Amino acid sequence: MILLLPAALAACTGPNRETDAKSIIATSCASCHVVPGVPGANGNVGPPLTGIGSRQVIAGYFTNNRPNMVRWITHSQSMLPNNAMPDTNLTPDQANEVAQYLSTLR
Amino acid sequence: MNVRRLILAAAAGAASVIFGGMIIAVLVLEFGWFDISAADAHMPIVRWFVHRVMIHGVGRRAAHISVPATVPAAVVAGGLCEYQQHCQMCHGGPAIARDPWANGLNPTPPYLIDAHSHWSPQELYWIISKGVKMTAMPSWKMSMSDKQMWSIVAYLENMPKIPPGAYRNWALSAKCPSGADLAKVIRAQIPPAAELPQPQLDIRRG
Repeated sequence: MILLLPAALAACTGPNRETDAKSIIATSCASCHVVPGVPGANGNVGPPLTGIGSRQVIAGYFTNNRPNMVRWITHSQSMLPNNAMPDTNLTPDQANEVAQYLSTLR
Repeated sequence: MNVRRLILAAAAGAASVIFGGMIIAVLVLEFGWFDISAADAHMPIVRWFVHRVMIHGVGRRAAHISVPATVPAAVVAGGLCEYQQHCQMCHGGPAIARDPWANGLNPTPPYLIDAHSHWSPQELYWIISKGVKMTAMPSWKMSMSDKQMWSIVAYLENMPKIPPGAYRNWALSAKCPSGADLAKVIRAQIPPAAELPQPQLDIRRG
């Protein structure tokens, strides 16, 4: 029973996390970016995020790793002042959910 | 015999489609079946449907509008200020996010840096002037003059030429640029040829 519990929890949180990330992306990223797997995310203002999980560089400047991605999503203007992507109003937790989902797009 | 069967089958098919449609209509109209919450995205088929309706509805009605031939830079700068005051809260701007509450709008308001590649000036004017039903885009002709609305169109047409950083600085300081300011930042982003870095590569291998 105790052994089964983590598996059951994983089954619960797995899809929900992805759903959460997708709904954040739908409201906060979709107008500017194509994001595979998120209906309506077909903006053409910023680059398409197809394959972003295996892309090596963020915004043409920064190594693509989790801390950089989370920071880029929340504070792109302090990382690269005056670039076209605004600071989103996402919390670090929300940005982490989004970054987790993006890392699966390979 | 076969023809008769075919006709019967077609009639039965049509009847069941009509009947099914009626059931769905009743469920939607009388039993609250359709989720009208703005917190959840449209179903893909609804999104497809409303976008087609909007794109063609705007195109058909905007076709006859005549566009002012050329506009001075001061008008574009004026349009930028109108945009900052009236549009940015929902549509955001270059390097500026829309207000957080506007993330709750559904459909989500588009960023407009590439609007001029999707809509003609007539269509942009029509959308600003008339608004779009069921999207939260209001008709601005109640509160704006023709001149103001055309200045916003002029700004939207020039939006991609203006460096995002310049827009951001003006937006954060709530400052209205003059036509000359605008022309200056547009020119400044293209360095004269002499200043471009020359490639310095050593092609010999160690």
